[in-house]
Amino acid sequence: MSETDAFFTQTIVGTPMSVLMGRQMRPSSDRASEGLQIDLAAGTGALSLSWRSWVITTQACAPVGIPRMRPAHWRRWLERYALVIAAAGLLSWLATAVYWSLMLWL
Amino acid sequence: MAVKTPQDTLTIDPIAMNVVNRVAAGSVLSGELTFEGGLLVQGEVSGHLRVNGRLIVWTGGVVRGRVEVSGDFYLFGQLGEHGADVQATHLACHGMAFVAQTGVSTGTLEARRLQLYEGADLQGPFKTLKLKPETG
Repeated sequence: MSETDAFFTQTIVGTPMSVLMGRQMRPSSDRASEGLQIDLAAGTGALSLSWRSWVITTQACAPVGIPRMRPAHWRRWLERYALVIAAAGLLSWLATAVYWSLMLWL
Repeated sequence: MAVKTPQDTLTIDPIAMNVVNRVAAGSVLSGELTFEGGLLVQGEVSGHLRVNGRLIVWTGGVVRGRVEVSGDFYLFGQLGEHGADVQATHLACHGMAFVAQTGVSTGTLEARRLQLYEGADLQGPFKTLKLKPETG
């Protein structure tokens, strides 16, 4: 995509944004325990009914345009207050430097 | 005890996803339409649509008619019309279809793979799309 196309795309369609998709629908835990069905007579194996839909609906890889897992609460908290945490770390470092400078000076 | 599965988020990057077309909220498009590149629908689109890329139907957006999508399909809004016949709207997606928690589909949805999210309202049928084997 050329710079002009990228400019108009960003102007008209918009900038990158994140949207909440929700919780993936999966087989419930009681039905999930059904697992693989193996026919002992024939020796063939097949997924139980509840897992067949899971195979269809599951996703394996996550390239561009594929939903990813929403970050956990603590990760979102850290990202929100990252600047404050960084500033606090810097201030504490400066305070330590000033303290030890004064101690050595006096 | 039921285990609470984590939620998914999708980052929509119009440039990386080549979503170069947009039908804004309040706009209504109808007829035989072809979009080169992805399409973001926030208004209403109906008729015969062909999208050579990804199709994103935003919350509040509506798509009706016969639709062919060569890429992935993301439904946050509505596919089809309430009370209409399920055959009135037919969407064939050559990629993967995602129906988010706000998505409502009353038409026929055909895709290679489907990902449903809790709260998604799939009222019409879903069919797996089998691609024709390449010849030569």
